[in-house]
Amino acid sequence: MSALLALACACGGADTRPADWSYIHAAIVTPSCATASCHGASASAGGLAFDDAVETRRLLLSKPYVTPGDPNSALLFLLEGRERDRMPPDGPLPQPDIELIRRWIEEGAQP
Amino acid sequence: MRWGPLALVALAWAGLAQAYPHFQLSSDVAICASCHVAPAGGGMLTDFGRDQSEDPLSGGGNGGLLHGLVKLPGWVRVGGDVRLAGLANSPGRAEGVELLAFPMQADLSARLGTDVISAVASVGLRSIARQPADNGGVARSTPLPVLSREHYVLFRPEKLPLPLYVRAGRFFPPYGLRLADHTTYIRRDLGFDLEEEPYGLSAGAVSEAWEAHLTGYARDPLHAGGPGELGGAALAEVRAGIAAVGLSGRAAFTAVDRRLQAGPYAKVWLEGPKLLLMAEVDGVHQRFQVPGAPSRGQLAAYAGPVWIPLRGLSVGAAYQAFVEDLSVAGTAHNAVDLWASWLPISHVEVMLSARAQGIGGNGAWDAMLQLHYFL
Repeated sequence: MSALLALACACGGADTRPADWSYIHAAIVTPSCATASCHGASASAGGLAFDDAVETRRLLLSKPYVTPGDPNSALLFLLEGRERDRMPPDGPLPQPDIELIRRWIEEGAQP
Repeated sequence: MRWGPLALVALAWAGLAQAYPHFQLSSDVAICASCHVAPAGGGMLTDFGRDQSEDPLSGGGNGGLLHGLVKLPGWVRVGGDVRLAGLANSPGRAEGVELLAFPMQADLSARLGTDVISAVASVGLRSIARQPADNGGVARSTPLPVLSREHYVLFRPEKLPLPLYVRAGRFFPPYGLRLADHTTYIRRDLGFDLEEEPYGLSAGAVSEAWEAHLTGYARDPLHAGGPGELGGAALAEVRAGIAAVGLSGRAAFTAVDRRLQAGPYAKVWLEGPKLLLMAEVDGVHQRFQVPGAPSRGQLAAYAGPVWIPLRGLSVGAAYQAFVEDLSVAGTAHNAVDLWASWLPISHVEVMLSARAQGIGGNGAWDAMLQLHYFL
């Protein structure tokens, strides 16, 4: 099994995933952030619920955790653990996920 | 720029007291349901399970309710768990290591009924590691401080050729190794994280040599995160002597994705060195209902030994992996776990655990002390 896992962990190629909010929300935000005990609707940790893609984007832009086009948006500071707390708190996102979110922000944080 | 709200997140390491799967086989008991009311194990103990908690699973004592001081009628069964935790957590942040102490679990549970038909329910405090703070006026309801992780009706007809059961209510569909720690990748990343118990209808059979479970479920819209989900899960396990081998699968459908996952698991008990070896590997195929979005394959795995050198003492290690997207380099999560659990007497557990993670170019570690008492 170790060989299988080593192979699996080593495989994969360049990141061709779309920097599209619908995809980012479904593939990254929902499993990593909108969990039942964190930013899911029932827990709404910190008053933030990320279940719905449209509402999540609105929250991120209104706080503002995300400033369209700004690679120094607060959300990236949180995801990278710069300055203060890191999200998610029990383990960071893989760097390719953070880079995908950065691309989305740099490209205007479109819906 | 506001930081506070996102930083304050409910975080907990244990859900409803699950079975400790390393006790299967190692304690001469092959069936989880021998010690637990639930057909696939976990949660409330049976009378036999309470006896086992005295000997051989702990240093001794009386495993009965409140150490045998209280006797209840046979149709009433009461249990409960309290866990206090101290956590040192370092997810790689500028402020260094985070130190927390918090009540991780406070659940009461009851079963009313007979061995043929019964109703089981738990109620407990929602575990909050970090206190919620003001969110600048964003209107979100405060979560209820209490919740019921499980409540179900269980029917076990007698005098059938097969030991069948039917269960309906809120519970986790039986799947894989069923580890107690919900932060393990094979639980957290496969749909079995904290407070994710769905409502379901399950049927199955449990015998000495094998068991099988089939569940249809709907994710509880009041408690679970993410979009509403419908799905089904199946598990089959065969046992022979020192080994148990199983296969489980799950299909989940939401408005934004369709997810199929399946994989084998196994346990082997080696009596000489007092080692239980266990492993699980699951493959996932996820298709997004998003125009232009690629589907992805995932892999989740857990493997490691548990050493049980003395009555009441278990020492474990494990390697875990979760590859978030097999087509994208750098999306693998790898972790090494070390833990020790000591049950000096029945009802009392002291657990020390640590985990180091490497996640796609980022690192994290945590260490936790748990004090656990069960009624």
